[in-house]
Amino acid sequence: MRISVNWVRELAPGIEGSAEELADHLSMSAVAVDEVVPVGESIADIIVARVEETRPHPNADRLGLATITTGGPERIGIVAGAPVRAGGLYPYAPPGTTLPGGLEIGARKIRGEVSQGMLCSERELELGWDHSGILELPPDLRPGERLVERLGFPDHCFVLDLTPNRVDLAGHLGVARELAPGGTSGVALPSLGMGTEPRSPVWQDGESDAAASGARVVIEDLGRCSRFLGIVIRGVTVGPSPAWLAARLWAIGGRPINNVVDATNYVMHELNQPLHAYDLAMLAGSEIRVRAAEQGERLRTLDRENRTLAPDVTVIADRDRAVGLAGVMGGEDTEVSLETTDVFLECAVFDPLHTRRTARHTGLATDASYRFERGVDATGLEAAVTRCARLITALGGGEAEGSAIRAGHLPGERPVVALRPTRVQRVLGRWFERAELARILVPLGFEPPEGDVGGEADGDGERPLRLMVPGWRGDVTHEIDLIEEVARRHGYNAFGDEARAFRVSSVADDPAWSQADRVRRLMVGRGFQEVRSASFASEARAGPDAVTLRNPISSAESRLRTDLVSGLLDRLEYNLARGRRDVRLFEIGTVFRLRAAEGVPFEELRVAFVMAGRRELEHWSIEAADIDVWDLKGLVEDLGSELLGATVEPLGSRNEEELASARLEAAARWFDGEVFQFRKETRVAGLAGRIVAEAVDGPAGMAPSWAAEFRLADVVTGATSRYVPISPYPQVNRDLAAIFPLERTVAEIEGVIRDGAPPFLEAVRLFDLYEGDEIPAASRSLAWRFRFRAPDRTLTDEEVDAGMKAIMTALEEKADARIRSS
Amino acid sequence: MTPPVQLLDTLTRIEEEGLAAIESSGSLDELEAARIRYLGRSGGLTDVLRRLGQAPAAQRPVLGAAANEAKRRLQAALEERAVALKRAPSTTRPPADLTMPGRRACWGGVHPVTRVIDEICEIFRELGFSRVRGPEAETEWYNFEALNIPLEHPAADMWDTFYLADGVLLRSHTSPVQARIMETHDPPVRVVVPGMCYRRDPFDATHAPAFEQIEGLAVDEGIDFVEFRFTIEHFVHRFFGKHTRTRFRPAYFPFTEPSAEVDATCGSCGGDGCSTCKGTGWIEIMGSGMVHPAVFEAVGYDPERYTGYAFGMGPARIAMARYGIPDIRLFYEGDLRFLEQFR
Repeated sequence: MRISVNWVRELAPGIEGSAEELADHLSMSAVAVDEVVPVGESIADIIVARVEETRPHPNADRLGLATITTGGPERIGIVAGAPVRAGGLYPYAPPGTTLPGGLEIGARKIRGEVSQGMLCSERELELGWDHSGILELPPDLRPGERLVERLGFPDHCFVLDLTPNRVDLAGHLGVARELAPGGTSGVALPSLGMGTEPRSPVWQDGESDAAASGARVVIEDLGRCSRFLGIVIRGVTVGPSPAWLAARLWAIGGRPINNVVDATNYVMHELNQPLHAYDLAMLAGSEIRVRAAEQGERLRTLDRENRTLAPDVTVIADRDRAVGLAGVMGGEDTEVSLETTDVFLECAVFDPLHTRRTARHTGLATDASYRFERGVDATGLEAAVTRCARLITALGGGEAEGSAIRAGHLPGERPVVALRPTRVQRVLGRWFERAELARILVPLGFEPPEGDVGGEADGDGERPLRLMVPGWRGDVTHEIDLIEEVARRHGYNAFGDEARAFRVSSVADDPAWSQADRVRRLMVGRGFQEVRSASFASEARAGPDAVTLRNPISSAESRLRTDLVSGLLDRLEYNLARGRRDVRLFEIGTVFRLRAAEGVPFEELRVAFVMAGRRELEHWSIEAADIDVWDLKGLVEDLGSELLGATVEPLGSRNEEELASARLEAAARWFDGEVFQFRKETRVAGLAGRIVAEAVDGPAGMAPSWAAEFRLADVVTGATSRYVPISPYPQVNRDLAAIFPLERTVAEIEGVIRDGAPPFLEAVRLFDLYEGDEIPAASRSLAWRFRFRAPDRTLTDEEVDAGMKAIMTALEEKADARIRSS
Repeated sequence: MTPPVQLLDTLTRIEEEGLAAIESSGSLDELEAARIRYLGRSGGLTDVLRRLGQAPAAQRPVLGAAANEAKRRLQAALEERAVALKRAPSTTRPPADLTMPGRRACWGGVHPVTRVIDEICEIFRELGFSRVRGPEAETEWYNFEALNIPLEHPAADMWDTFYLADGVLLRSHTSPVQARIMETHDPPVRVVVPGMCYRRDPFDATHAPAFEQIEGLAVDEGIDFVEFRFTIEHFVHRFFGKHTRTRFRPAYFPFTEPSAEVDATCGSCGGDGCSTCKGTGWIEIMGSGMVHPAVFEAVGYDPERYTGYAFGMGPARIAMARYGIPDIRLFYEGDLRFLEQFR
């Protein structure tokens, strides 16, 4: 929202301080000023010129020649880049001047004709964006005048970051009230050359009579429009607006169109009441109806778009058809043009929700819809429509007809809100006397109702101050709203900052965060870099049972991820494509799945990692090998024991069902061949393995990539360890090598060892695998080191020998072992 | 039977030979061989000591003392030689070029946004806030209505929301967790809520459709604007440094009133104005305010009895300001050249 500082100063002459100071004041007490834009600062050299005559450029079709005057006897020859008309006034940059953009103007030859300076477009003067033609100036200017003075420039424009509650600050009067010393008492509307005697129209309430008022207004649905005021003005001469009005509109980024339209825009930006002017002659039956659009009804709007409507849309219609989008934009057919003489002026209260629907259906967001969606001051319509009608007649002549129309509900009583000083203190932590509260609030328009005396002596702090809310502050409905007014006007930074009594939170830590902390520490120590990625996935990446976004940004992000590995593969490829060979990434993030019944989907936090490249960092002393299955298995075994309290075992085909119940099928898609599962008690808690080669787009000949995914909720926190007494007696080590058929797995064999071993077997460690010439086909030699130790005595050789014997016997009998050495 | 004199001679000979062997050892292995030969279990000296029993009783003390003395000297020589050998530079290789790179381990790193989240949480945990979380797929009730945001109201436009189903959406802020926590816990409530949020913003230098937020909430009897200001200023001093100044500006959030935007003096220029802070000297760090009574009503708290404050900040934005990162997308691309810079 743009606000002209000069305009505000005109409304509240008591305002002092530079534009920057005022902006700062607004930002700290009401609404953020994003930017202070200078307006017309650098057009000091531009003067008004009148075109005396025009003729074609002899050497260029697109250029014209013009003779201009700046008031003196001198006739100046100009080459014009766009059409100008004899008698028109234009901004002229004489030789030796500089345009706002920095262009230096001289006398120069264009296609053989000398141009003594140039005539400028709106954009060249930085008054707007239009660069399609040369800007024709308001007719009340005189040749030779300096534009900057006549336009009242330089000005500054505030760009406000308006919050939805403070729509009143969309109007200059609202901003003036905030900034004026004395608030509401410090503002006054200028007469704008309309004379000082405001003539109030005769209001005709209810069903209007076209004979008395020149038009008839019918509100078909009071839910869509609660109130509608109209005035007919006849005999208007439509033409360009005077300089002062054009300047106001330019300053806030608007464009003058004609005096009638400009008057409605001026009053909207002044009083914050949107108005619309219709060409009365174009309204069939001189009738105005507010109603729902019919399905498929068509309307061409002022922005030259043909629109097809639906009953969601509220329209203004005449007897026969829709002529405008209620509260949003007028229609082209009834637009006020240079031919218009009779005007119907509208000022209404359109329902916020219906305005929102109309705007949404048509994809429009206009100055009017912005205000109606947030609520206009229902008590301010009379003033706005009267002021606008007077401005129109002052600018274009004509006369308001007989009575003015007033349809719909009367505005309700101004609501009264009670404010307890004790409540103010409980919320703000500072005591305000009643008089102090009144001193802050009354200037903002909050007044004690008649009979209540504001600012009386202090009494019971629970006894409330009762305040009537002004019509423009529809956002204030409760005590807390007034407390905010007190806080901001007192100044947020004028309050103290003290520690209060410590309170112990009744809420326990969610374990997920400490679980995540543990995962991060471990993964970082193992060389993994944490990544964070959005939870979106393409349909292909997401797989079945994925949650679909109703309004995705793009099809590549139309689903929610069902696993983390797929996203990590994208990150892996990203790095491979940038020449990285060694990549280790992990992520902690949420995955989503549809539930059987559509509704809130299932979600859970997961941990995943991916690794590719070499086992160790490159070093001159070694040739580092690629990561293989044993690197992966060792890592996941560590994760299993350190984080999850889970064992790691090869994944068999029997686990489809378990994977599904653990919701890990989505992650399982990416694994191939060498795959493991984390088993926690009887559940599958996660997966790890080699990534399907086709899933990774990497350099040719790239070694396999490896990944894992598990549930964060399975990460163990808290103390799970128990102390085991340390034996003071020495250990005895023995080695054993034996030949086994290939189908005997090490897990199986070690199970046999443990079953057959004496209780003092402390540890077993596989230390060799041999599959050479001396070993029979379809078998292999495996060697273990056994560590024996008793908690209560030194073991004798005989005991250990007997233990080894028992193990060997068990291996031979139950694991088809052929002992090689022991 | 070997005469005692002969035994003494043997002892002397063994000692001389042993000392010579130790002296001439060129390596630790040779030294070990000499030790075994002269001092080992079946070595020369051990043999002499074993035969000591056969000597006449009168001579045994003298011989014993001599043998022990020989053993002590050999051991001393052995140790001395071992130290010398260990210290001796390798004769076969020139000294190593110690400027060559060492063998380093592969280290990972924590994401810069995580670092910021952890630091923020740590400060609030010291103030007695616990870390909680809530679902990312939410209902309209928790995301909007329970927070005093009517669905078809311009206030709801402050968040452009992704929808999953009727009434189901990806939360557009972490604030729904406020309502969830208050529904299930009685005051005093002091929590921080890190988590992902989603908005239908185009992915550009300053917006991400999925981003982190940290919510904070403190509710009890007697919590006021003054305590709120204290807490936030304390946080700013701890996080940004004690010379950082704070200012509170009016703002609008439907679920807080009074609402405040909090700025901290820009860390790049110290408040003088620079490109990071767009010349203002201030960096916007959080939206905040006193919890709106309507929120208390929605969760079943008595708004007359309880007051509180809430705040929300974007750790990615804070990380951008802190580390001088110009584009928010860098956080989510997973580029190791970027991530490895934060150690």
